[in-house]
Amino acid sequence: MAKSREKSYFSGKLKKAVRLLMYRRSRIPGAKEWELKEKLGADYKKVIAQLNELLDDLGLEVKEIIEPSANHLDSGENTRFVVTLKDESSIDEAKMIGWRIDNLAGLAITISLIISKQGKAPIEEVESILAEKFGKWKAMTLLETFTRNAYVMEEESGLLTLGWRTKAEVDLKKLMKITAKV
Amino acid sequence: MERSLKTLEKNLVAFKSKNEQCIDSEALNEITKVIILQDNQLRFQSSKFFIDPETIRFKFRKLSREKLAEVFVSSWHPILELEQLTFRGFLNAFDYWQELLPISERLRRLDIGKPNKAQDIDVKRLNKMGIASEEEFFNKLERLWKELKEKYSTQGKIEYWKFIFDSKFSTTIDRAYLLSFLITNGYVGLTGKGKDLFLIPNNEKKKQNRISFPISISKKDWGQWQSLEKKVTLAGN
Repeated sequence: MAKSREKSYFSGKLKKAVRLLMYRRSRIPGAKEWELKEKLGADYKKVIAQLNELLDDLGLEVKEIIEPSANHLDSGENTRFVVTLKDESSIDEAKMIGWRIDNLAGLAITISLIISKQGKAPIEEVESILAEKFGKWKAMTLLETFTRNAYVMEEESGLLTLGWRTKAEVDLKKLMKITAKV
Repeated sequence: MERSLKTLEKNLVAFKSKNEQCIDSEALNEITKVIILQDNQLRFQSSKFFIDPETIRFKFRKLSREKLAEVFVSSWHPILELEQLTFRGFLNAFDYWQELLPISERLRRLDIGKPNKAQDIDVKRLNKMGIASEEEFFNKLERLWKELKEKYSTQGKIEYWKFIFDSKFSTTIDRAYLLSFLITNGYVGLTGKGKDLFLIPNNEKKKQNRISFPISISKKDWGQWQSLEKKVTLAGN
């Protein structure tokens, strides 16, 4: 009885959480921690846990990411929750959701190279490696796309660093492990 | 390290005096320090899944695009996000449609004559026409950049309008579009103001912030250039 009451107590909040997390309302998808607290209440983590159980069947999960922010003094201010694919996907699935082989391959090169350079790599160097594979002009457009979609960030000093989207979407340790193996 | 230790071991029996043995101990101590540093470095690298950038380069050279894509996809969990029309987006769209002229009016302004009957076109044909092919776009960029560099080497800085101009309006637009790509990405420099714009090609991509410089080209501008070109040709003859 108590369990069903808990279920109904959460169902309204679950719907709210789905709307907050899935519909894009700003530049960055997902919801900030304080938004979830405000709309779902202090027990928002319980709601997220329950939502995760439901999403599990669909191969999705709610993930906590640290959003880049100038103000790191406010704890929790830059914590964001997003919904991501939980399971490993395949190239066919990536194609199905609109990705191109070149873009995926380009991301593998760009991200791995930045990590191998301890998190910062000169734009020219990344561009030249991409150019070996895709040609100069294509390399340029690829980097532009990756920057626009926040997979990488361009610093004023001409260095590329990993963007928030890479940190949220890519299992970096796994990527490097696989790169080392192939 | 191994060789250094073996050398020490080999010579140990020959060290008779206390002084010699002290020097030997000192050498052993220094070798130990190097080993400790190497150990620390290895621990750091393995904790960060460190791979030497050169190894990465080598691996990427030999791997196919498909294999690389596979590597990425196996560690990738894309974010789920549903696009929606926000109130601000709705207002922007409303303003856009309010200001947009009816299609009949726009077609009349473009002066393209009576349109052909709509028909299907397959990707093969689009490729053939150079519309769907990325390779063709990049080749065009390369050719235009080369053309500009050649002209610059003989004529010095080149007038923007003169460079993009072609006897066909569509080709003029095409050249302007390609050139904008080169300018934005630092392959060509743009100087001057208003209608007096000049192009200076760079031999390599120049480090700069991406620039956005809208230049409007109307059929009227193009017509003026066309008549000017005709006059220049007649005067030349």
